[in-house]
Amino acid sequence: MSQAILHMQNLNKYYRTDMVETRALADFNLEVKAGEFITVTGPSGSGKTTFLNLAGLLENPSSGEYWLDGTSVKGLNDAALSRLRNQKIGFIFQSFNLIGDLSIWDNLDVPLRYRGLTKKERKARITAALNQVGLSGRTHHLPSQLSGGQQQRVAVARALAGNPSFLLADEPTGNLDSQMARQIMNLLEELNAQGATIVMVTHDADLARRAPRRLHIIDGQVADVRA
Amino acid sequence: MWIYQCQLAWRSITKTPALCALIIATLAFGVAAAMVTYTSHHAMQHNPFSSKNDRVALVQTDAWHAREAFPGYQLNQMSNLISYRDYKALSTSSIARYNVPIAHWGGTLNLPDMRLPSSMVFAQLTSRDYFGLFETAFTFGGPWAKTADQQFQPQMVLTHEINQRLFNGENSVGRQVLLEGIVFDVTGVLKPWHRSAAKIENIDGPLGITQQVFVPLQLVEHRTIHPWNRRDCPDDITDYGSPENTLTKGTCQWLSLWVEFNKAEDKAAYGDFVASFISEQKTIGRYPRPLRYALSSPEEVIHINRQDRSEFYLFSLVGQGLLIMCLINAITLLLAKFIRHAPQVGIRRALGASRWNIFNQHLLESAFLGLAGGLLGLALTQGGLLLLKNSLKGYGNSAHATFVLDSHVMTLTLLVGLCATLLAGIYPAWQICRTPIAQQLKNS
Repeated sequence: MSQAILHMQNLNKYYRTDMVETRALADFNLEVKAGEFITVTGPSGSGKTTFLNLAGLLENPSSGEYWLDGTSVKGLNDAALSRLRNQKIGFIFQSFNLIGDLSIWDNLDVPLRYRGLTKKERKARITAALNQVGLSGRTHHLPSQLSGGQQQRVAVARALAGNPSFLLADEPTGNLDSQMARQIMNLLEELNAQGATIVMVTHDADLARRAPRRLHIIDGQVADVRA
Repeated sequence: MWIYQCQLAWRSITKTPALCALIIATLAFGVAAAMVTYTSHHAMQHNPFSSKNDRVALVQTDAWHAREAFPGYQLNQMSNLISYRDYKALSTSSIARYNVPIAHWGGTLNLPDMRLPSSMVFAQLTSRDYFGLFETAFTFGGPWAKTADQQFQPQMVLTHEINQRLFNGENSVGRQVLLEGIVFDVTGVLKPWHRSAAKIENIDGPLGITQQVFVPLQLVEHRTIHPWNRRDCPDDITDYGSPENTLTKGTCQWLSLWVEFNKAEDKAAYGDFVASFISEQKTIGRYPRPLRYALSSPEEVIHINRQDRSEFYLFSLVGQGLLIMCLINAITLLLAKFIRHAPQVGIRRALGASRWNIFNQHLLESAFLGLAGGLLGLALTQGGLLLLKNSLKGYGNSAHATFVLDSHVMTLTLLVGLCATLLAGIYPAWQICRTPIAQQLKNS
């Protein structure tokens, strides 16, 4: 049996204001194994974004345990969490989140710089990642010179360049028309077929159905898991 | 990583040139205001004889009348000046290496054949020892003969500027000049000279003057001249007959006496000598007040005469206040600039940048701006000092001659600029790196 890349056990997340305490995730349990492709769905306010933030180490849980590729993240300091984020997770955002004043090449270079790779290593990884998404001829373009679909493919390439343990995609097709959305979905499926582990949050039920494993969240808890 | 962060910082600066120029200008103005006022204050309290502070002293005696203490502004209630007769008596001691009386005079100067237009000059009445104590260097010749301090000989030392004016900078030793109708022989010409000790030379003298020629003090015994110093007379001056007698034989205090010893230990022996002299004078009815004297070091003289807490002290505080105001403005501008980075910071954090990476990147950006602010501040400081120097010429204490941008001030200016900006950058950089990543991404 393959190793669990992501293992959440009784994970809770509370948001407190002066008057109110909101429980965004409640005793959340999930295990994602290497090579899986999971889609996460749920109504607005159900806790999808909180799940994504916790899984991506963008926020700390209030309680519970979270193992990322076998490492417990509990009590890790900011530097260690940043290192884990950099080495283990590839983010794909709904709004692409490319840095507007950097070229495509430089955008892909960002996570690799923080990993401290040599120039030669960075060049090899960026070239490979751009080839993988079919954008090797656009290295010197700025994001604004590309279409939405191309920008998202750059974002996918940026996530792949770091050779992460899993890809965390937040509504990756949300800002694209249906044709572009299908292209991105095809790309993700292709990557999964090549062995990439993918966790994708989406509103689109049709896209969600294309994943082998589907997770439905309601009121901060896993309501339904379909394989 | 440092190189990458420097690249990011530089890229960020070039993206917002107008805002960065405003930050640099704000910092430069604050730094220049602080440094101009600091330099002027520093010059006022600077001890030009710090290297021999324990071996140089101003002789002060309490020769005032019995009814009250000396009414001057000196903190030790003793005049900076002594009488000519006391100077003559005290200068007989061989304990001091140099005995330097200083009094001021001046008048019209010309060549004996009157072929040049006459000009007004400031003259220093002093002794040959002046040139040793003040460590002046000569381009031509040297000081007058030692005998000229015992018996008047019309000899004169010119400054570089006056020699330039009268003799086109040629060797004028042996030539003659006419000052107030007296013909003097030139014995030496000084090298161009930074008069860092101007405030010591001019203590209790006319304000704002720069001596241009030097003549033996003995002149006062042989010619009727009127030194330009204040005269403080504890006795009724009519007792001495003519005003000339008052000057040389009376008890009026009008010249300062500086002494320099070979070694600091000689100061105590000289003090005993001064005390003996005062005791002796008491027997003939002088020095009616309790026996008091001071051999004040240059540092003490600056303090006693309140030069270290002059209006420049307040001026300096205002300058520092301005720097703080400018820093607050720079913090606000940097904060505005950094907040615009928030979405990008969120992306970088998600992709693996640590809080420390982000903090460093922004602090480096502040450092670049600080360096530019410091350099511009340096130029403004130079301009400000020149402006201040020119506006004070002829009005205040001659110490303004020392308002110069030396290496000490230059280094300090750059350091102040850099530190001030780093300080200003810490808060905005900390703010930007501590914002939760999820929130930054939401804003992107």
